[in-house]
Amino acid sequence: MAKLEGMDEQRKVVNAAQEGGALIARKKAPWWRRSMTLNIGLLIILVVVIFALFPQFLTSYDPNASDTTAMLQPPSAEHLFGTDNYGRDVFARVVWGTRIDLTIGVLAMIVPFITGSIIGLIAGYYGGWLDSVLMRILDVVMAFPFIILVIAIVSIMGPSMNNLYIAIWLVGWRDYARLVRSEVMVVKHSEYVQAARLLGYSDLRILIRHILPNVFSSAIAFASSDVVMCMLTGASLSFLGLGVQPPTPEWGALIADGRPFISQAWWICACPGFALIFAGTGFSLFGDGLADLLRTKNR
Amino acid sequence: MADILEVKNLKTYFITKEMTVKAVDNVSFTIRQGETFALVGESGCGKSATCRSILRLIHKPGKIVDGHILYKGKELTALSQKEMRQIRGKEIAMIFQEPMTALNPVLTIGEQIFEAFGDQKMSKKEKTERAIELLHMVGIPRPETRIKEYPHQFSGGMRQRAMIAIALAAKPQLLLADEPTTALDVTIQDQIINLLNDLKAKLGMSILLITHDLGVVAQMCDRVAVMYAGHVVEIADTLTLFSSPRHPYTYGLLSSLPTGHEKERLIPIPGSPPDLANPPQGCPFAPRCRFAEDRCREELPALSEISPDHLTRCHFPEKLSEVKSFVEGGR
Amino acid sequence: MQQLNYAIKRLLQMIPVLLCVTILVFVMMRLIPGNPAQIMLGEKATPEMVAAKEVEMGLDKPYIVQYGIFLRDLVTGNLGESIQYSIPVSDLLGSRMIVTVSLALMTALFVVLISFPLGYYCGRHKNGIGDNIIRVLSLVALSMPQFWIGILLLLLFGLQLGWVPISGWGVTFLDHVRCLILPSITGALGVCTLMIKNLRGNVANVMGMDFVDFARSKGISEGRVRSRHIVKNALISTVTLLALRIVNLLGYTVVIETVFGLPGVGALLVEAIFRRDYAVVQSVVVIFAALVLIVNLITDISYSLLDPRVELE
Repeated sequence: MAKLEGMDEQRKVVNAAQEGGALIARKKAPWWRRSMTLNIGLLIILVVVIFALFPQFLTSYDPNASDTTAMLQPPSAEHLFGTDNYGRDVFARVVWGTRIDLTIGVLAMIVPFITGSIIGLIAGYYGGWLDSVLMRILDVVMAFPFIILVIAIVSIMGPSMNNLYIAIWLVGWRDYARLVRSEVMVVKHSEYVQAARLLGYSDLRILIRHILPNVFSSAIAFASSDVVMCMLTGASLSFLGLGVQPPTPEWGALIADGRPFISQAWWICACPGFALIFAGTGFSLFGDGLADLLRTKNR
Repeated sequence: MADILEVKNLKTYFITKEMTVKAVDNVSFTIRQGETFALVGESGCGKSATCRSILRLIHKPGKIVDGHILYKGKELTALSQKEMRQIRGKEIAMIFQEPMTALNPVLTIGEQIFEAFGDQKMSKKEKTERAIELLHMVGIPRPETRIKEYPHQFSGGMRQRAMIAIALAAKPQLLLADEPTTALDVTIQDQIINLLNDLKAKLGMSILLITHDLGVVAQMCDRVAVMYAGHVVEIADTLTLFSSPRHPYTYGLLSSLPTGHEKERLIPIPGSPPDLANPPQGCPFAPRCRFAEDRCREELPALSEISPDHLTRCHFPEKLSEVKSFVEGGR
Repeated sequence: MQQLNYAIKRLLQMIPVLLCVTILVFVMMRLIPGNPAQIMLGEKATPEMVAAKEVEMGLDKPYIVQYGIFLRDLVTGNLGESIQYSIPVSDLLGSRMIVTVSLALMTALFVVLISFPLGYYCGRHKNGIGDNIIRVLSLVALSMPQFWIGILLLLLFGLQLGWVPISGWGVTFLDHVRCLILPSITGALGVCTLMIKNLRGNVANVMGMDFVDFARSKGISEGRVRSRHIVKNALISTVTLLALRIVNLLGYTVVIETVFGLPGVGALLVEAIFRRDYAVVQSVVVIFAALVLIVNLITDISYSLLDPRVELE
């Protein structure tokens, strides 16, 4: 009987029409033309990085200089975001805080990203008792809400920025390990990995050359939205007084500082929050765009 | 015999900003009362889109742009959604290719049959009895217990039978069968074909069979329309089509069919179907046709009758009559 | 019946994980610099009290025995005494658990009320104008710190408009509900983003499935196609995600309760950390782990109820 490879025709046609065109158009375009979300995200991140690198050029005020003649002043041309209860310029504090929050977001993400990915790779690839042990440890770490475990660790070591990092590093690997492990489990059984094994390649070579490139994209896409999570966790802990300590101008701590004055001076609280949202949205958009791009590429 | 369905100059396009895919372009055919009519073609030739157009189940961005679909003289393209619902299931029903994906995984087979009874006033007990009867009719053993089961508890063949039972629940006059055997094992395929033939005889319905499998056509169908790149290229009764095809594409299809002779050679059609978003000028088959002349590349031939009930969309149908007929007498 | 058996089985499976959790907490408490007995009793404890506690905790004995004592105390509900409140920790936790659990439930309710309709809409009108607006807004919502949005909501609805109390938990049931509205919305906002995204994808995916067209080809009404065929299938994985988010959310009750002055376990944890009230800290941490395991159990069961393909073993 003649088989002419009958597949789901309608779906193919729809796909071809709906996505195919866009796909072809995108594939031809250079990468920066392919995703609007990615571009906007990148633009925002760029602005945030500039704020973090050159705060001194963006504000003439010292973020920690108090001025008893100008306390709790509303936003004006002179003080863009108003002043706080010590007469400190809120705009200057927000601008100088960028560096701290951005560092928290990136640094708190990067270590678990690496350790978690390695653990996930090893557990998924080797399986057996090693996998069982690692997964039981993972079960225990997963049994806590993320922030509770972070808080518990910080409370043991004492509140400080360094301890905040250590706490997030100790807990954050779990998501990457789970993600990468599940992807490795799929790729491991694919024909090209089997072929690589038959050819007698070393485990290390198979892991790095054949598995890693295929499982990495989802971890990377997750990492960029994880930056937002880390920034928020850092800010939340600082808000609770368990992270960055005053008078360091961290955004969460700034919001905590302004809270007692909320009915007279809303700007002390509101402005650092907008900064957090701005930066966070940048990374979220970037992450979304990246995920789309990687999905298109893998197809 | 009277016509039960007439499709006239149907155009179903998928229109996006980037392009327009002419999935179905100027398709015309008629299905007569009580016959099994086949639409044959490769994947992507528009046969499924034609079938879905009849029940108006085309997804966005697809749209019936032009043409007529007359069911017993009634214009389906002009009906409201509500009127269309009275046609679906009760007059025209449809079965799908993949029994895996065409049944709702979270509803029991019984519930899915009940739904198909529509608004008829029936007690729960009557419904159950009728559902059991239907499952029995399509050859599902132990129907009393199976109506309480979910699709994943059925094998592929049983699922296809269940789907047929659901489609027939409201006693339709016309059954659209979109590749009903493709996803099944060969032995199960034969069972389903026999079942459809039996049911057709028993219930006196007509069937529109969508398939790419000429073997199935030979086993089931009275007449055949061959589709290529959104066009109907040839219509004839099965015997005529198999014995004396008058379109080079049909000829090519038949040449690629194993006959069971020793020393036979399967002759593939060179090239691949055109991009429907960017069809070539003239006859869409011309780039792959070994008989093509300049006229073919410039002018799209019309679907014209070359002998009673035998239509072909070719400028030079007579060229093929010189080629030796290779499936003498059909099967 | 099948579900019940499964629940019991899963409860039994939870025991080893819970044991490991207690080991982790035990180790963490021993990592605090200083004398554990002194830590448990606080700085004001007299040397005699510390000495008595040392014997009780078996500090001279091997760690395994100390852990045994710790476990025995946990199981018998003898969670020690709170330094801050001078009452047994177990008494302190009861009423506070109610607050936290109600907060989590009401937040989940808001998440469902907000994200299900929006997610469904976005899935049906994928890449339309409404879909794009909702997606951008929800991305912004994802980056909103809960403590910040909480403070601003309080400023607007509590201080300016006076619609809801600015702090506390109230006395009557109605009070409780009123007190929980803003905290629940605050908690729900960030979660909704992920739910909408998930449901959007699911709805768009299910809508293209053959069984939806097959249902339509039966001539049933569009409303029925949506409710029984599209939504029912789209929700399966969304419900699982909801549970995962609730787990995360349980953690953020720490922040939300602090902002809204709700007397729940989350706020208690923060207080206890600052007062170095470690008897309370260790109990709350264990309780959060237990809550997470319970949520996971409920998820598995509801998943099996929604999807008949899942075999309960």
